[in-house]
Amino acid sequence: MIKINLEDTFEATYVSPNFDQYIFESQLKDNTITPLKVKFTNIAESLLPNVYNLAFGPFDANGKINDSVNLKHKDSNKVFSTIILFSITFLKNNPHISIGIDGSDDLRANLYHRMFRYNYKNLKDFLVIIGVDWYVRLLRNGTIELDNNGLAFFKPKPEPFDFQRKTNDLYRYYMFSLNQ
Amino acid sequence: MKDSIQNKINKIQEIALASASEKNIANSRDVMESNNNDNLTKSIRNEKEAKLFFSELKSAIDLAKRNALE
Repeated sequence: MIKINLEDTFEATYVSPNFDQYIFESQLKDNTITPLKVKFTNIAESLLPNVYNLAFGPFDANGKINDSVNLKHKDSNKVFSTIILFSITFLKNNPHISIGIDGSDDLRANLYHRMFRYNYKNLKDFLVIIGVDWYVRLLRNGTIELDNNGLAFFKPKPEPFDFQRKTNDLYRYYMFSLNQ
Repeated sequence: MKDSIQNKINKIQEIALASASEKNIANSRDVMESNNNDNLTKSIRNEKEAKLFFSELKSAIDLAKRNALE
């Protein structure tokens, strides 16, 4: 279980001037030290200007963030506490923005879900957490709305994160913004 | 916000100032990272849908803030 403690975080070795990129170092269970990058990227400039995607992970061979690797950190609590602290810093400098987390797979989505669920009391003074589900519209003729390819057209519907909702019922997307 | 956490944020802001005068490490190692394929982006097709989503997001945020006070 990830326990967030904002008092116990790693120090950044690099912070971009506009607070959208951070680098810090984490020790792994095999005692190697690996640099991790945290990056907030605007999802789609024209349509979702106020939603930034959170990505983090080690650098791959091309210098990109590898967000699919599953590293065994010596102190996972400290790693995630650091990421949350950087997120709060980014949001304090961009208070109108929301951060989105896609969850590259069920494993990560499960991790985020449990992290938000079990740390709600520690986080609620800083962050507002939102879960997004997708729904398809039932038309009056009894059929469902379809997309251009004739497939069911699903629309995102955000709601306050339901802290009673367990990990067998994950949201498809997670968002958080500053509680101010 | 607790003073200790605010101090940590102040420290991060100092590092950002110091980093501004250095070579941009992050960008120099960073090949274009596109996040246009996430679930949310793929399902917003036009301005109208984006406006609707933001309206619903604002309502959800306002409700979540009220819930946090309870």
